[in-house]
Amino acid sequence: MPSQQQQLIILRINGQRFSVSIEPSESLNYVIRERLGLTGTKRGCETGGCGSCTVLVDDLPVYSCMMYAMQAEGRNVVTVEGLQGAGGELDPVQKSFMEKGGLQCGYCTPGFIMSTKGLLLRNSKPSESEIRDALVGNLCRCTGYTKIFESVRAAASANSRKNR
Amino acid sequence: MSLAFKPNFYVKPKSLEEALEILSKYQDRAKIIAGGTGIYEVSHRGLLSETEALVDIGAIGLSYVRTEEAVLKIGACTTMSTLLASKQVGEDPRLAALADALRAIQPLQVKNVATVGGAICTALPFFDLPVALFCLAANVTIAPSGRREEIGKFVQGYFSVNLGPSELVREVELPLQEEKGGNGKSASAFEKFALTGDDWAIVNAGAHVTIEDGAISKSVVSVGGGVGEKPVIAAKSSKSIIGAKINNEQGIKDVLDKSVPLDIETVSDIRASAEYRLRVAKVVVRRAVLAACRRANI
Repeated sequence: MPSQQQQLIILRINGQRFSVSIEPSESLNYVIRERLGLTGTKRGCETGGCGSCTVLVDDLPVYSCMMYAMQAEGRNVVTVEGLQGAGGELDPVQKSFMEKGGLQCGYCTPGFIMSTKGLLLRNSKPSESEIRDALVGNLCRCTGYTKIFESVRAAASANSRKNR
Repeated sequence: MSLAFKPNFYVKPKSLEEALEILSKYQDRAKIIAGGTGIYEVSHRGLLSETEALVDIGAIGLSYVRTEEAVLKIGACTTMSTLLASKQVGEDPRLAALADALRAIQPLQVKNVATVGGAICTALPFFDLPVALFCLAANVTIAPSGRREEIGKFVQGYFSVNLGPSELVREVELPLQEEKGGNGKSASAFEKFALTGDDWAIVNAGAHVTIEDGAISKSVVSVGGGVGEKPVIAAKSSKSIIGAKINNEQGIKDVLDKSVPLDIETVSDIRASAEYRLRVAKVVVRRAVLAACRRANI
């Protein structure tokens, strides 16, 4: 069986263009972490269940472990590293998780933050059930979720105060 | 990433013709990818070690939802999220089973990329959308020949659909004819029973009913989950509720309790025993039927 041909692709990540030579079977998660060194996005189950690999592709939360990097060409990818402002100020979602203590070990946190960011981009006043529905694909083994939901609610109300 | 899955190359054709050319050249050494979640699961389990060409059909214009002369046409590459957000699915009670099924598909990260065509062609019996499409008598249109096939015949078993190596599913069609004559009103519903908020269905069911003068005049019931190699059209259950008065919920329950076990043969697996599945199936089918009846009665 002939081996994989390396292909050169251009990925747009956090507003920056990266030219990278990859094999077709490499997932977006693998390329982000191992080839581009953006390790804020985590690798958990690699089978599309835990959500620690969640990134935004064209503002939509997706599992980067289940998407081949080649599929992301031509699309806008945002990882947790891309949420900070130009001067290093944290995104309101990141601030809320910090202030409300929505984490313990922190491993699931970037995934939750990206799912939350995706939620607030499409729905600035989510109801309780809309919050839960948006986070079904993110698992946490530490917190029991209570403080995570508080962080999301706080981020949503900070968001709607800002937009008034 | 699976060590066995090492496609030679990945290609993203810009037109249907180009895609078909590649498929025709590589035949079963090519694999179509749309959302990628199905391909990922299958390749991760070592099932695609012979694949040489990964053909991404995301850019050949198959993402659309449109109504043409009382037929709903859904492009095969339409994502679950896009379909759920569409006007037709949101508003038409006849299509409500689609909305229910799309809401049941979890999580959002999968819905945002998984496609209608992908769900049908991956052909796992516990998927949610195909079960809804079964009860709504959907047809698939296949390129290049343009042949149309009813989804119940197109889906053959685990990972198996009636598709040759140089063919692809282009579109899914749903008839929207309202009942002619009488005051019949149609609606559909879909119900899912799973262990957690984002697990596969233990049992799921779709129901499409037409109500006339307070009674069921037409019905199609589909069942999926652990009930066989593909979703089942529950023929006896569909027939058994014809004539039932929709305000006689106990009567409908009694009839379905007898007919559902005749329509399906449940399996035991890691999630549930066959006996438990059968008990749950009666409830899930009943709920789908009653929900469809209530919607039709509005």
